[in-house]
Amino acid sequence: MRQGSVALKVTVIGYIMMTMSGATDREASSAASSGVRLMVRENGRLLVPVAVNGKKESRFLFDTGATTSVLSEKLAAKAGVTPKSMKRVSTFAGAVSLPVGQVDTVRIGDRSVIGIEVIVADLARLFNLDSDIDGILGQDVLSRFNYLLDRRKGKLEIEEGGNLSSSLSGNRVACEKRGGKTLVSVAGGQVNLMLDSGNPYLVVYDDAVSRLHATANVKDEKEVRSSIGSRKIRAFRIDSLQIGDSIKRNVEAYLATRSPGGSEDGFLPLFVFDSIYVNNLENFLIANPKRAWGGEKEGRLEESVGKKVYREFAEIENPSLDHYLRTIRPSEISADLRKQVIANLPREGELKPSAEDKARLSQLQPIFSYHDRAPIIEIRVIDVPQAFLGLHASFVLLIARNTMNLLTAEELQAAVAHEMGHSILGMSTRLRCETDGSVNCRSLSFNVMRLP
Amino acid sequence: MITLIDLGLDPSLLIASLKKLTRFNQRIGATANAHAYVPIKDRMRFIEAMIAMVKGKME
Repeated sequence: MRQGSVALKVTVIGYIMMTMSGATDREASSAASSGVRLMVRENGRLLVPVAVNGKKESRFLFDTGATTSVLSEKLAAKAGVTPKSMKRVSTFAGAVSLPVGQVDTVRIGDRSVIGIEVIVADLARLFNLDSDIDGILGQDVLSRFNYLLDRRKGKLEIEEGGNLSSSLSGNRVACEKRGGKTLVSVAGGQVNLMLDSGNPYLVVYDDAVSRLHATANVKDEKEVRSSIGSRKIRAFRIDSLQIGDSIKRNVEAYLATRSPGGSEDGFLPLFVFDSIYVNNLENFLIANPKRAWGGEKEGRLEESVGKKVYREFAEIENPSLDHYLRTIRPSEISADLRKQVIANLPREGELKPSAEDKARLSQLQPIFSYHDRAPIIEIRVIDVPQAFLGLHASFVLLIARNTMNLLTAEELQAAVAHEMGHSILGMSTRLRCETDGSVNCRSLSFNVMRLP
Repeated sequence: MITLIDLGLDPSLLIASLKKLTRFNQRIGATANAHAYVPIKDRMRFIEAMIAMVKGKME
């Protein structure tokens, strides 16, 4: 699998298990939650913007498995953090001595922590992190807050009170704090896994696996390496993993020999959840929490938009639905504009449709005709990693190869009709590439950023 | 949905196609712009409500 293979190359975040002393002061806070954009990398790693000592925000790995935060040597120099001493640090791959320095402020969203000791390290060499990552945000910061992390929405909400939990529903799973780590009980309390968002694997120690519903046939052995050392892990399958209301079936996991001194039975990465609420004040989590309608601002907004559109159409008298659509159809596109848009389309990543493609695409003609767009629609089949479908400039239909492969001819008709609806109703059809949160755009070999 | 119903096509295919595309993109981790969209479950609820309403009007 793609995720697994990428993750193997960059594994060994180094589960930093050292507990360090640090001041616990914090800036004045409000009870409301603070929203932070969360970047989800293809290997499942989560990145957040963090400002150190008032400097410009840098990308940090969100790592609940690290008890101490880490700065890259480059960021430490920029932020004026000078290492003063050395500390022994335990990682999954072994122990190593690393320099530590003092940070005045660490800010995430509008939450700040004052005066903590951080490790300064070469993140790429020691922890196999990408070169654009400048730090690791560990439990010395994270455990001071409650947070709702939503991987699907790419959003992290942080709070210091308990307001978020009042708008969430779902079973509360008790957590235990040990040495800065958060341990989560699974399999009816038989196994305690350390919540570890920096880890791309679900790892279970050999002596704990019999307590899980696991398929024992170990199929594959791999070596996890970093400059600190190496360890062997062996792939296996967990038939059913239940955490609160969340049940995952046939979960890929890895076996490892128990680390000396560790109280956990393994490591629980966050990719097993779509979203998770962690309450560090009361020591519980909710896996995949549900949000009640109207329970918070966003919920109310979604409900009101949905209801507004529904009411708009519900109030139209039959048989004039079709007539109504015709009245709100966008005006014709001029020949000059059409020519200009086509000329500016990027060529890289464009694929030549096969005969089979052409046959399927021809079945879209009734959709285009219904919208009086048949003569002007241009179709481009493109090679991008994701299953993409979009209408550019109201007449260029971009269909990813993956979308063609995934959908039946009838499903493709339905999805294209949906896209045409965007154009008619004047809803946003622009590709959402404005922010760095849209990782897809950068990974598109068909460069949609260049679309005018 | 109006297009699909008017053309005699099954509007529930939209739900199937959105689910397939969303699952694929989640599987490869291409979810960073998911925040720009209404959650898939809410989209499904909305589509189902609209199908019922439009079909009711056209009957």
